[in-house]
Amino acid sequence: MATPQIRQFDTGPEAFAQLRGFVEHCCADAGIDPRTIAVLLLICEELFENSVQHGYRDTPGGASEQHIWLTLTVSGEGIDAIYEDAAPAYDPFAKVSPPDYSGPAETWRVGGLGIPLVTRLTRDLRYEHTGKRNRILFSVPVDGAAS
Amino acid sequence: MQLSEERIGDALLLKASGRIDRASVDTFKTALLPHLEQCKPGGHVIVLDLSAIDYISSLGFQVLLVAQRRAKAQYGSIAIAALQPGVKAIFEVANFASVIRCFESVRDAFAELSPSALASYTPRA
Repeated sequence: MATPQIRQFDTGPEAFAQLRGFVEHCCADAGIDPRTIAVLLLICEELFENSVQHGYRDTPGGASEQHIWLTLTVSGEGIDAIYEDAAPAYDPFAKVSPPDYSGPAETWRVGGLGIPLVTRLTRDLRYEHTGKRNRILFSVPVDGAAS
Repeated sequence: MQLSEERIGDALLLKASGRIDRASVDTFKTALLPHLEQCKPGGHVIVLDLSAIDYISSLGFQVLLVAQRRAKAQYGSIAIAALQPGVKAIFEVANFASVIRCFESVRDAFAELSPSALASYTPRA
């Protein structure tokens, strides 16, 4: 059985590069294919961006002095992940509205693309708030998008 | 992330390479959006070759969405060509092919959008 690996990251400008290194290291050790790694990185980047731009936006000191935590359990069948931040409790998936591109271009929503993408790329996605942390739990199957 | 440009007929071929993520998205935006100024009738069509892009996040999608909105407002044409399979899968999941036209190759894009570019286009080895 795969062993969970957990790492804490700050949310400064260079932090995502460190998170990316952690993800690639964990996945490479388990022989995960590049496409699955790219999907996992994309999910993590969207969640990280959500923490920085929204969750920690109004916290004292701003986002740069805060942390996020990522736990990865990687096996040959897929990846189980837990993404956490310590921002005020908020479920980003409670009310997800996928972008609608059917109307004129001037009506297209420019922001808010990341969370709908996460819902499409993950399996068994769920949110909980425990220990003063927002916890987002999800799985990524090996080789490919979830939906 | 790097963006090179090549004028071919009435088309502007922009080739991006590397990753488009939170670290590079500002570079991508700064490099791409000025080219939209001439993306209009009497100007040029833009074909964005993404064959050397192996990762794009929603921040990159936002830049493409802004570019397409601007092109449409000017009655211009912008298209994407030659997505890598992994990136293409993300485009499909994000339903982004309904935002901006995607072609299998630069040649296919020129064939649809710019006969003058197609006539003089020679893919680089």
